[in-house]
Amino acid sequence: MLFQTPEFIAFLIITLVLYYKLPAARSCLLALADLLFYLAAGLNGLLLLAAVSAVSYYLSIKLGSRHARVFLTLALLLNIANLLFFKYIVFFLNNIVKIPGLEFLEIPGALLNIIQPLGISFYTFQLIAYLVDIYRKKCEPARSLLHFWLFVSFFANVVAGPIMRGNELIPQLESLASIRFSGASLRLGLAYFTLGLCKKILLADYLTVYVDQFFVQGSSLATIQAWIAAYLFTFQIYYDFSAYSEMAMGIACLFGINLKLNFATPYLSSNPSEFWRRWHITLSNWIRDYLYIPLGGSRRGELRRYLNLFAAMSISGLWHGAAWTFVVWGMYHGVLLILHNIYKKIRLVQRMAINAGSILNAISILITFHLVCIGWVFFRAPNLNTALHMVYHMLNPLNMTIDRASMKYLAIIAMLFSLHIVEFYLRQNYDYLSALWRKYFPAPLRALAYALILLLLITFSTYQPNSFIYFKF
Amino acid sequence: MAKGFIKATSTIVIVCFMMYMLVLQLALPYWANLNFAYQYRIKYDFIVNETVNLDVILEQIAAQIKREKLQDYLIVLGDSVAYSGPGPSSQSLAYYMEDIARQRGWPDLRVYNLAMPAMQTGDIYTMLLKLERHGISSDHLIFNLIYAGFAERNPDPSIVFWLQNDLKELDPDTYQAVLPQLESNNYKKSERLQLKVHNYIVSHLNIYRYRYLLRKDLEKRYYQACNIPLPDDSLGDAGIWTEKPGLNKMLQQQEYAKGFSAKSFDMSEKNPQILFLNKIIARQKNKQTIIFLAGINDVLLREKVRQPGYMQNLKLIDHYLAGKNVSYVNLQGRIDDSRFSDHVHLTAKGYQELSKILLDRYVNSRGLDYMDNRNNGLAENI
Repeated sequence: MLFQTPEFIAFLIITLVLYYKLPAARSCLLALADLLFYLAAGLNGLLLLAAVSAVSYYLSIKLGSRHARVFLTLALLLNIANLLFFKYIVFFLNNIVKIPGLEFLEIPGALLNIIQPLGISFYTFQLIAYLVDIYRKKCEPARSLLHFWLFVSFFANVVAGPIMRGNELIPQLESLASIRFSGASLRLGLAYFTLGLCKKILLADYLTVYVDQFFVQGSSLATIQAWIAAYLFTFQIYYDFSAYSEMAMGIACLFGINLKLNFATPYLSSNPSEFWRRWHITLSNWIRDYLYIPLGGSRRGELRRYLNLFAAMSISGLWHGAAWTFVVWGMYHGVLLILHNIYKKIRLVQRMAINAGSILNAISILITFHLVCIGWVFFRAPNLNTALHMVYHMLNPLNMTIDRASMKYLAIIAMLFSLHIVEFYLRQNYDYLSALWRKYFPAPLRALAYALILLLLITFSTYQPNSFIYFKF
Repeated sequence: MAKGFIKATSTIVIVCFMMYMLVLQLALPYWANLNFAYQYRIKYDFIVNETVNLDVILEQIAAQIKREKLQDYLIVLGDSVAYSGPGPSSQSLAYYMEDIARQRGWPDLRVYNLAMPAMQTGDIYTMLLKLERHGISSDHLIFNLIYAGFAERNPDPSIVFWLQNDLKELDPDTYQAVLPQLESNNYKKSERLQLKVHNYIVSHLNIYRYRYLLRKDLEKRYYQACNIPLPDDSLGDAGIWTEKPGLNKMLQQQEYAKGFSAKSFDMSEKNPQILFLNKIIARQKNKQTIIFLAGINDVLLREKVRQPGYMQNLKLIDHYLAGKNVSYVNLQGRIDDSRFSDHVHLTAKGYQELSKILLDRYVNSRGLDYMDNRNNGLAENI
């Protein structure tokens, strides 16, 4: 059930009304809502999620025992095996049968028909974080299976995050009965939800059409077209995924629950490290805490640090999808992070005091933005050859000719970047602007504006609602 | 105190918002401009994704009929031939029929072309039920059939292509009778709850029902403000068939080839085509009904249409319809191949000629006396 569909809105309203009408039954009600929401995607996926959750819960209880390490290993193996099987088995087998001498192997038809359960990458990472945190005693186990189920399957974030930690979400879920209806939460929740809807319906869905048109002919694109394709996808994926994340935050807010912010206008980052602190923040933090640091982080020398960075980002790439294009995308970002770290080190060694003035900062932002755009080509291209063709042409500016049609696209891209800056300003000044809005615009006028926004969103929504890009992962 | 104030204004916002939504719900049908969804024929993209939108058009047509106190209007149903594909709406049946009538001194003829590409006989029957529900008369009806419609369905095409759920609601017995055929074409008898809720909302909330019209209105204003010509509503290339080199190859494909099958037709009610035709004809008793069988381009498909089996099947159709209380026109061989845009669809000139044929038949089958009385003898000129 996609957040922008009328059936989801109906589902949300009914759940909210019951939630605030029956405070004592909130846990059960929300658990049922989560179940129905996930069931809409198919019974098999729900059964799998329920089974993995139940087993993980019982193993997590055992993490306080003498054999904690064994139980942790078992629980991690279960979750990783679940993810590997449903998401990567065909990818692995496809690569195995390409190995010389193994071409005779055939992939069983049943495996080819495996349907990847919705949100498996996200709930697996959330479960792993929970199990490790309990083992490390950073988090208290959930009080009951019911609360644990709420933690794993909360319909706002089960499909595509934000990836929450046990100590962030479980205490909130265990005290649902004490949450009181708050006008501020309602306003903030609706603001986030509407912002997400606007991004998805008015921007991402319309960009999809153009991005698909460009990438379908990716292997024959010239320099300027390849750049346009990359720029457009850069904004499509941002407006699509941040839309989902903001809608998730908004929905949670309506229930009085706080989810973590996943995006902080990432294209205004001035270096690759900052980009990852502002793009898909909960995943970046997860990679740092459960992959990069356990691999040794920066504790074992420079070379090992770079290797760890590279490995962590490559795995992050593979997490996104079972294809080499995603792995290369992850490796590319690993290289960018390493280069940025080396650059920082050189500056430190040579004691270069470069003043990060506004012009230099703007140049840094532009460079980082373009480096990120190049990375997105690998993420979106149908195969590596197409991606390499596009990147090759993008890096050949001598061949660039800008025609009238390209100018039109470049103007659209400039507008999209401006919207990103506007978003940054709105985020920075939300409280101030919100107070102004309520102070200077009387209630009937505000209501009229909300009604017009709703009308605009419905009018421009597509008949067949487009799924979110990250639902595939 | 501040808290109380915020709470009070929040309540005002919610109440005002609900009022505005109520106003939209009530006002949108009166604001809507039918031309954005229907202009000489239904806009294809209005229906293709959500067939529930058909009710919006019927509702608006019913309102127009009532508003303009129309007594005599003609309903056209059928598939892409009656729809007049692949050309634009300004070269379609309703446009030409009204235009020719106007030229011949009959300015108030109104033709509502409610055909849709791929519309099957089951859809035509269901449309008649829907028309009745909306209070639109089918007293004067023209619809088309194609030869392929009588051929054995194995299992496609579905005998009800667009309006399965409407048939389920409006005539459950007939629906049950053809359900196996529908199911063999991937129709799901029981919709998922999610889809049911979706369909319920989009068919009851006017902001959803009229969103296409709103969007088209805004688009038109945008085009006008920017001096951009409005996009053409053709479904494809309406040029002459001889200029389409890939056509022959396309017609070799199984989905087209079986449409010229020489295998003898089953003309009993075991054939769902006959089942629905009988039902349509029974419903149209004492009404004026013209059925035309679309002709096949007999230069392009000479070998196919000259097969003895094919010719025998045509005779079976002729015989079947000749015995019914309808006016029947078999167009096979009546329109020159230079007026075809492919094997069955026509060019602008072809649809113009078809319009003349149908208009002549319409006037003749209504009887000159009636026309003399209504239009002071103008019909004699038609």
